[in-house]
Amino acid sequence: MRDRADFERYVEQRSSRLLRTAYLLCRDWATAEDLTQTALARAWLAWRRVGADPDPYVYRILANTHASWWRRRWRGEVPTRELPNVAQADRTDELGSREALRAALAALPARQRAVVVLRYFEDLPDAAIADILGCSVATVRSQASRALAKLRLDPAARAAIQTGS
Amino acid sequence: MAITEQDLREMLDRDSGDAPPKGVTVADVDRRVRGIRRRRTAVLGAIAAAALAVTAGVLPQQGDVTRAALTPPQAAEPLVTKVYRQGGRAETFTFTAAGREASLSVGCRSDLYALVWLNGELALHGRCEAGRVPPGLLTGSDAVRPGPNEVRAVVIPASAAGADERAGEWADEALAWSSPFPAEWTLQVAPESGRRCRGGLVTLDPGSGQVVRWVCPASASMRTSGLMWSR
Repeated sequence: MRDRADFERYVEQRSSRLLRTAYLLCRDWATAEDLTQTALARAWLAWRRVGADPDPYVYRILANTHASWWRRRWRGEVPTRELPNVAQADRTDELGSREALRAALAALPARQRAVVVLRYFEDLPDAAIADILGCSVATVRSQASRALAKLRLDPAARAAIQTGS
Repeated sequence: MAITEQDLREMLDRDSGDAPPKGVTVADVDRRVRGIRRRRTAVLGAIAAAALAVTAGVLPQQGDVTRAALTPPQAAEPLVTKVYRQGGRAETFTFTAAGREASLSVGCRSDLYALVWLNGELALHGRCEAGRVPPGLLTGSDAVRPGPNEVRAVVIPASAAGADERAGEWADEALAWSSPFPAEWTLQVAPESGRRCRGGLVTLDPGSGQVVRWVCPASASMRTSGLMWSR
């Protein structure tokens, strides 16, 4: 992977998947496009150094850029004259738990969300995730375990993650 | 009801399944590349200008900054004090924390923009705010983990950072190709008790501009400390 044609092929083949990954990190399609464009642009600027498999490099930029934006997101309150609509409780257990899972996922810190997305959407092994996020495999596992506890994942699955099995 | 890993996989797949049909094209990426190159040119120009200004001796020198004592004080001595003499180059060190929160403080000229990463995440960035005299000070607090913590920090010309609120985003790339330039700056880490107070004061050493200590009133409870300047 060295020349312009390779890069264009990479963008065509991988951008839709990268966009989905970016969306799962930020939960907003416009921001996801912004993240993906930034990651691919930086990949092109470093294309000679990226190596045969650009994915880890691009994922690293995605995760770091998202974490950086997430930390600066607006956390304040906006005054309004209108009261928001009161959410109606979901009547079905299945749908309710899915919505709860989605809300819990959205509330995860950026680093934990990145671990969850890379592990369960991209199906990357812990070692690859550690390389992308610049931390140890043990840190990836502890972050995953904490995240899954917040998502109320099956305790048996969490135990398996902690032991690396 | 216990959620399984399979549920999680299905939800992630389903939630990201309605991506915009246009997606991201090569043309989109090329536009972004041109934007990044424009910013790089601006940063390079600003760094060169800062280096020239230092060489020519036109930038402000450090002045006397002193602070009166506050009573009754609760002083937090810095855990770490680092003094650097170059900007444009990332500096890294590790400190050991006993608690879960720490104060970060960068002392630098007010024409510089500081970025500090804590354990790989951007924890503090901004222009060193000057009082009536330099050096300026940028302070903030962030979560640390008990035990070893890694700090990486850099100062770049404020003119390079501009008003871009995503300064931290391009800081990594700016570091990759920027050249070091002469700039004296300090970085200090202190336990949380020194920062989470209203009306607290930061005491600076008149000679070096380093934070000597953070001082809080005994009953203080707010998050930010005050900063006062006098000659």
